[in-house]
Amino acid sequence: MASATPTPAAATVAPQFGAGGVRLFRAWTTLLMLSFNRLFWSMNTLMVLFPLVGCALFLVWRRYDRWTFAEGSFRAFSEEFMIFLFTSFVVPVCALAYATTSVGGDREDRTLLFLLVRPVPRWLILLAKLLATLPLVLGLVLTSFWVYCRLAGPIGEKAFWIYLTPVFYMTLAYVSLFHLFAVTFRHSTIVALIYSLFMEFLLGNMPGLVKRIAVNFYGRSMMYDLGGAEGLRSPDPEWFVPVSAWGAGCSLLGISAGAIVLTLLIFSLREYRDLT
Amino acid sequence: MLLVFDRVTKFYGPVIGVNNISCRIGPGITGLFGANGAGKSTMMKLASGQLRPSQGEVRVGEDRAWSSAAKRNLGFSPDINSFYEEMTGREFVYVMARLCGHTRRDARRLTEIALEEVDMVDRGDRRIGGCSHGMRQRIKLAQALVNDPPVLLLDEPMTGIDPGGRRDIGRLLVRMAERGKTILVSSHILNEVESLTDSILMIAAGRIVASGTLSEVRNLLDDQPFTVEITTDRAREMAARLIGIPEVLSVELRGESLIVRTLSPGSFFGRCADLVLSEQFVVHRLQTLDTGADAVFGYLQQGSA
Amino acid sequence: MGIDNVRYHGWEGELRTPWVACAAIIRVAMLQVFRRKSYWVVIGLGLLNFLLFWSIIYAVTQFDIPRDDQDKLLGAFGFSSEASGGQENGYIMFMQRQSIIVMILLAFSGSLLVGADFRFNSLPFYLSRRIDRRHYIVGKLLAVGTLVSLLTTVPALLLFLEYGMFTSSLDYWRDNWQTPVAVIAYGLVMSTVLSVLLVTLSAYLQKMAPIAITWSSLFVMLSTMSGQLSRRAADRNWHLLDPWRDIRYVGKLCFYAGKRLAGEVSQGANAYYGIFANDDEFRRSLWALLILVSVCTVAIVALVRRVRAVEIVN
Repeated sequence: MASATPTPAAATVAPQFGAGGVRLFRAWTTLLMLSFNRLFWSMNTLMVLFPLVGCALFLVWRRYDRWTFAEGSFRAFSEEFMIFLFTSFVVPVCALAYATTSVGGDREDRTLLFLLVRPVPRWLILLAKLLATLPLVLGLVLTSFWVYCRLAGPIGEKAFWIYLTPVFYMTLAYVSLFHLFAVTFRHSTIVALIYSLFMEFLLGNMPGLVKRIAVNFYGRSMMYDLGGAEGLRSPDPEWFVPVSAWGAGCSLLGISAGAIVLTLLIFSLREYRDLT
Repeated sequence: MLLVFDRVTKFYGPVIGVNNISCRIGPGITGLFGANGAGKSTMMKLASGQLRPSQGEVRVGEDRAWSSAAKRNLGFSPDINSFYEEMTGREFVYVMARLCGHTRRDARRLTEIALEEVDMVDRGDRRIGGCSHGMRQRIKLAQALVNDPPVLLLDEPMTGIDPGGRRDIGRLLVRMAERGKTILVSSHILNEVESLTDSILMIAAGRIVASGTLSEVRNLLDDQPFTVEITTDRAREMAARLIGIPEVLSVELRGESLIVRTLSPGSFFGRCADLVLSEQFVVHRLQTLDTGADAVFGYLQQGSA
Repeated sequence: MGIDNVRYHGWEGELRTPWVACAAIIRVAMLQVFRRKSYWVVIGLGLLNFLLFWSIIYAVTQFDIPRDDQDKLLGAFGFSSEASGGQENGYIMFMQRQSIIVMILLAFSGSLLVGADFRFNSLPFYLSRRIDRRHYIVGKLLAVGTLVSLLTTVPALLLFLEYGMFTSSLDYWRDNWQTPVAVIAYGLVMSTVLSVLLVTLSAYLQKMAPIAITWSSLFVMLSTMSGQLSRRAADRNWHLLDPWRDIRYVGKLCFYAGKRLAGEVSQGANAYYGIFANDDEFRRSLWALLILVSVCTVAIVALVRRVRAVEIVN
């Protein structure tokens, strides 16, 4: 056994901390606020405004042009805006902007190292990251959703309450899933982009049960079910075979919970060798 | 507090990072010395709990290095140049103190102490993104010290710092050591470690090839040949005279230069000086070819194989 | 100590023009891309579409499929059942269908090939050589253009080769010689526009996430919106909002020019050889050309300013 010769020892000066739990809580809340602030004041916030403002302009145009939603139907608003633009693009992009960078950004910038050598358990670090991301994405998605519904007029106001739950669940599912990507893959943004723009489209439009892998399928199923009373119908019930709103909601919550548990587990056990 | 490596092996897939390393590092400064790729960073990562050993155990005091409990006693200054660039140095160190669980007031106080230790109090309000390399090194050191941890791991802490700064940081580390802290400083520059401590760990090819004081390590090298290049006006004649010296193993003639290999550099240089003076050789240049760290590791590695 | 004493000698050979450095920039970019597994996944996904088109061409040329079914099958992929003509839309459709994968690949490449140079201050490594910012910009544009071509132009040309090889004579290639020329021209337009936009965006945004958000907004959201607006308003000019459509319109102009070059005569209802549906679409293509030229000009000016700024600061 090799042994380094020590220089004469002096009395160790113990750091002055509070009680264990309180100290940990203080560290954790600091991390939560740090993560939230860094995400909020990032370039991503500015860039995500581009699609959000784009959608708002689109709705304003549609409402005040001659082919307005007012005379149109709830179905047109639901299909053309809610399903094909908002939940298929805006929600995943907002989730991607923050969920992949909350951990992935720290990995990319190699600042994650400074967090991993602090006396906070890894699973709590991840939980802080998740809880910093979630209100940000939910706030952005739900606020923009509310604004869009106001812009769309009476139909939108009705749609807001009908689609609030599916939008909430979908956002939760995407945020959880993208966190899983972030702790698993180095280039999580691209994996999330491939998943949300390519795989979801590909899987969601496949016949049979394959489409049940896609988050978007459950979101659409919920929307078709909840909007059914207002005349919304799935494009081809024989082919799309939607599940009930209850089933879809449970599935989305299940996906979220499963993804969060897996994320916590992977982050707790994984070595990030690319940090130094 | 002790930093203990107990039969530690770390694999990166099929590649071995460190191989069956065992050592106990106690209070004081210990230099971890090795060439690039020798396994220094792997040891640092294992000690700071970024990596888990494939075999064996790394402990900080009584806790495994991977656990969060161990990190309470640990300050780590990594060998990377990444920070939260948008923050000022003071903010960064403050946040790191807060992440250790200190109250706001304590964190502020500890931040000022740490910045003072690294001589960054006046420059602490600069954005890190706009700081020089040396200032960034000092900030990195400050964040490691802010918690006043009993164990300090410093990966190449002197890189990019001017000679005056190195002296200051050296003094700081000596002060810390005198307060009973366990400090492991990695470096691939022997002089850097030599000026701080006598206690070194030498690592090569993932193994600890030597440990102890510098003189003990140098004694290990006594039976290794030492190469000297001499450029002179009468090379052939000098070669003939040198080969007669008992300490000389071989002499190679390369134009006007001679490559001399010897086992006892101390007595060789004495005899060589006598020869030059007595025979009036004009020596244009005399340089040792293998006193660098790489050559030392090469010898040690060969010895350990 | 003199310079000879440290055995340093300057380059004594004859240096070639700095434009040759562009080839090195492309080579390094390709190495950077292809050593990452994630890129191979994206490229693999891009191959799915190629295999689909390849299979369709193979099926209709090799199997005895009833004429009606053959028409439907080929029609769904833009080809005409007449092998001697009307194939252009098939190649246009193939290149268009690669859009999502090309978009994802470029979102990925932007931060790696360009953003990283700015983020990690590696631009001075390029600019401290004999090359200046013009060579750097052209090198990076060519690198991105090569990536685009690998997913669009090259497979489209392979499909053309395949179509001809599975027929029993050389007639297909002889009758459609202008098609590969038009494919290459369309590919050049696509590569140029996408590389100029991507390199500019990446130079400013640098990190992967903001590039991905902006890039996908440009190419997915605008596409969805323009489709809806043009359908609802019954005004197809809204399609001009979609950059992919604009590129496709200009691509059609390339195929149209190819037909004109080949000296083919178009008459009556088929005034545009079946490439453009009507005069409106032809006019829209000219507008699309104008839009793309304007956007690229603005982007190049912004890019040059960005690279110049870095040069001064560093």
